[in-house]
Amino acid sequence: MAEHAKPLPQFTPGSEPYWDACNRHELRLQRCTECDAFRFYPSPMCHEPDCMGLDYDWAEVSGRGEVHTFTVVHRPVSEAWADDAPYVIAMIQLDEGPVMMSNVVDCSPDDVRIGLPVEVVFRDLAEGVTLPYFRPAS
Amino acid sequence: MIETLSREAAIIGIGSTEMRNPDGRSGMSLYMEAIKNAMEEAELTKSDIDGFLVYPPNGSMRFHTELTEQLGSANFGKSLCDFPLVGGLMVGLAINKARSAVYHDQCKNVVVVGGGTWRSSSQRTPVGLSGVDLSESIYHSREPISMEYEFPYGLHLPALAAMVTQRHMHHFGTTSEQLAAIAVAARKHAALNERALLRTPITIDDVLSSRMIADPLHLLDCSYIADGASAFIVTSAERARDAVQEPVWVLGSGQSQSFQHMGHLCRGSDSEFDLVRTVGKIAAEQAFTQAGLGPEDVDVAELNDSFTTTVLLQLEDYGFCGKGEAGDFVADGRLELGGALPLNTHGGLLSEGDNGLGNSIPALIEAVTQLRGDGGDRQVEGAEVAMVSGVSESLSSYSVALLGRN
Repeated sequence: MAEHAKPLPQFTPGSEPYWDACNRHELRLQRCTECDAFRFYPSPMCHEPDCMGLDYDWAEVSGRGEVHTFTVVHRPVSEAWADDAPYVIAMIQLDEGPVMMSNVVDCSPDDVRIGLPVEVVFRDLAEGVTLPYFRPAS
Repeated sequence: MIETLSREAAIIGIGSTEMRNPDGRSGMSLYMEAIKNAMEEAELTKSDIDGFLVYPPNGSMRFHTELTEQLGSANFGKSLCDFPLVGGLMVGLAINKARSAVYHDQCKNVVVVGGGTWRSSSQRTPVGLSGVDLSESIYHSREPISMEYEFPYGLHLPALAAMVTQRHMHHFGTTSEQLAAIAVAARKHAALNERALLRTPITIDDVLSSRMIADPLHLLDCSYIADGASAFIVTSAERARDAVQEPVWVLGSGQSQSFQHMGHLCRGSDSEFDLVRTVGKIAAEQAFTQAGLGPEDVDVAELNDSFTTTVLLQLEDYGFCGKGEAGDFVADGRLELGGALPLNTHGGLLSEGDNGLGNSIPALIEAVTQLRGDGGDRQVEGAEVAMVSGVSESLSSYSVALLGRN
């Protein structure tokens, strides 16, 4: 069977610091300089209900969190993931607050449950393209 | 005091195509047939229609102007032509806009039309879910999926619904058997509907033994991709009194939106809403308040069932049962004809078919059919009040309409 390349992220303006950090195997998220709240995905305004902060920096987070919810995908989205199925898609609640979508890797899908402690692990997919994944915390 | 506009507008015509498209007709062709059927039923001519709300079959931001252009010069003087392109909000948003337009004399008669060619345009490469190439089906719809932060992880729409389902099971002990009851009821009703694509009765075991798509959702927990278009016509209370067809009244409508991408709602700590406590609650409260009604007044419910989970969440958030109780609520045939809340009496997206954008119009058409008493073998006896809903594919946005018998 022909190799089906997985689509790489389509970068958007303003997200360079996030992806640049991933390339260095660091998880950096926006942090509001008015209220110190972290947020994800990258966006111009603080997400907190009582803050309209437009200023932020990019601060490294622990990379630790837990599985908020997940699914084991048996029917992949396309042929590109055929060899990966069954694979785990999860919403990861980071210790710092924000929630990220990712895959839970380096374990059996049967081991994944809501509340599972996880830690970030990076995989280089292509030149200049590194994605964060999560694995059960050591 | 805000005017509620309850009973200030009515639906006076409905029209549909088949849910299949064997000849590979264009979306435009299907839409024209649906519009024609609705107009003929209402005995209206082209020049009677001066408002159009068109859900594009292909996501085009120009389709609505092309469609009205192709109707010809009789409709050049239209005073409303828009595309309510907001996920599952079709019913609520379209009814709100149409009702306002006819009430304020901006328009005489507004046509609302939607549909798609999801299945027929996918059959060139028949692989994947339901035999449909995911690359062209609604299951691969990228609208609600971030191409930067989500799609690279292999996300598709069933996975989004599956993650919500997993969370519901975690919180409330909901089971796959309970979800399956929703699919079984839909199929039972589809067996009585000649338009439906899937009419062979199924059991809970059939659902549970169907292929796992995204755990815990099986193939038969997911809607069945279809084709076709459907349309309805909204007019003012005054004009409705002279309508050829028995008018069906708009009693109330509401809508509410939350996230575009799921991560934003997971936290939940910011508000009363999270993955399993949806803003559908707001949409339903708006509709019930306008109508002066409550869940106990609904005789028949035609609710979006993109996935069995979609129904589960709505039953709770619209107030038909308490939060976390829908798993028990759907058991024992409560959603079936003869039950306390007959739901999706046409078979819904699960069994009649899911024609994609605008897929809440078939539900509205079924509600109108029921309220006219034209349901035939699947008529809910004495149906006076019907609820219709639209829900976005990512279960983030909700719209609700309450319709009443003349």
